[in-house]
Amino acid sequence: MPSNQEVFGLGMHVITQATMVTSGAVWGYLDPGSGGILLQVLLGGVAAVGVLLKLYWNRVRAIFGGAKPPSGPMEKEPP
Amino acid sequence: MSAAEREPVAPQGLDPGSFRDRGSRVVTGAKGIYRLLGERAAEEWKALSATKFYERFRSAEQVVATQEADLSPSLRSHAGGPWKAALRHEAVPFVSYPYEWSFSMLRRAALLQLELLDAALVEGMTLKDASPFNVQWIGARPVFIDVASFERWRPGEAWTAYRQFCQLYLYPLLLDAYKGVAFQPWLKGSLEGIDPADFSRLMSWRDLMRPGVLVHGVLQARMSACHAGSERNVRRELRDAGFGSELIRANVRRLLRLIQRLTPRRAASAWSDYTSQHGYAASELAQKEQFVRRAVMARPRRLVWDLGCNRGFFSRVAAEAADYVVAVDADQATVDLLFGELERESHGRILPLVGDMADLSPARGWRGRERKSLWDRGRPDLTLALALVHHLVIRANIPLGELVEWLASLEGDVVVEFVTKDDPKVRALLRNKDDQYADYSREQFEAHLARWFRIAAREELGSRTRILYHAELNRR
Repeated sequence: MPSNQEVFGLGMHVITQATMVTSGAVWGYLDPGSGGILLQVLLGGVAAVGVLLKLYWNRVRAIFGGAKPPSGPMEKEPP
Repeated sequence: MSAAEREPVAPQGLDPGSFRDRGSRVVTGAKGIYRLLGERAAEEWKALSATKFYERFRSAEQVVATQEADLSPSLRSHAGGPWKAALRHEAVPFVSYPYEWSFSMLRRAALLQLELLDAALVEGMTLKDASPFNVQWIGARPVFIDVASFERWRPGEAWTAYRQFCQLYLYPLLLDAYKGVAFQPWLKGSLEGIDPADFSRLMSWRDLMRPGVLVHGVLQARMSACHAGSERNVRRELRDAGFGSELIRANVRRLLRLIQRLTPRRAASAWSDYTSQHGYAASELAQKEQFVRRAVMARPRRLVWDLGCNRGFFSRVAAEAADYVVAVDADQATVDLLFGELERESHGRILPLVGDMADLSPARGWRGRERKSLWDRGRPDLTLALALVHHLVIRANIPLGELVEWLASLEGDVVVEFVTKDDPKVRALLRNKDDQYADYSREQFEAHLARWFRIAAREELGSRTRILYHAELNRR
């Protein structure tokens, strides 16, 4: 049987699909893959719940102009 | 001679396989392996060298011994670039690649990779890649060799190498553990490992219930496909949402638990139950053991290859006197058993590898230079080829003369066993085949040997169907 985490992961996948959340940041010399980055939020255990809610809340706020839109040019890498 | 004192076996100069990380390059020098660091990499090294975990792993010899070195003009001359610092690493006795490792070796390397990442995150550092090519072996002990992979973790940064870890460690292990499919040919075929989408296609509905498949495999493939091509700045989003390193650690610990529980699914092979004693009377085995021991001790041996090593009986005999033994066998299950025994003994001078003697690892990667062929990573000064020739000639159809010529091309001495057509083992090989091996005779074998070697010793085993030769290469 899949673990609770796996069921949770699949559920979150449905959510990300439904809200059409997309991403594409690349840094370092490896491309971590946008899907792989978001998946890591889902794999973060209990601590991930708050991060996930905030991530989506920020996106909703961005849609209604309540926050800086999260998309934009990549930040300069720290020295 | 200790591993530290041993001279590097690779040719000197720029390591052609070290180009991927632009922040550093590896140069093989006269006195060791050097790593050139750019400005940022030099800062990361300073941060790493001040951590407790680095000292802990280095003391346990799980991270390669490293010292700061002078950035001499001769070092700079090998690789252009604004280098700021240089490190000197202890050379491992023999470089190997994950497509030559058994299941337990890849699993052990994966655990080391995860343990290092977890420890690094506790002290505010991370690993920017997760490649098994960064792990090497001193005997049965894994050693992480790429200290330039460590960098300071930045807020909001996910585990950049998560997908690489899956492609090169997790999926190959799951493929073996859940489907009974050997991963070595897959990794030999693709240096990037197994793509999440390909891995997902290999899994059945039933496999979705197995730990790790749904989330790390199928879900990752689906999410990668769905999110390809977008231009969002996910890093800033994650940072703003409070993504912390504890989330990465939760994933790492989950992977540690998953991988610790994995076992190879494939049943024991015919060879894994085959002991070195098989087919021999005890007196013949003792005779053979003494013959090999005398040949090994005839002169100092820096590197011995034991081809067709089986459970490593003669590798151990060779390791009594030789500095280092590379023990190769085509049977993954047998090599896995040998690795397990060596690991329990903390054996540091026998490296077990999976390899088919008729198809040993070729050169791979960019320009065919990124990963070297087995024979370009250090030639043996003695090769053991015991109970091997009849398999290569009669099973793999390799002409006897070409086989002896290949042994000579290794540029060392050989201890080779010839098994005549009267031997039960050879008769079994010929049972279902036409005997088209007119070249397979003791007389012709000795004639081929004489072309390249001087026969220093020759001995018939009691059965008279097996003849041992200690042949020294004619050095021009």
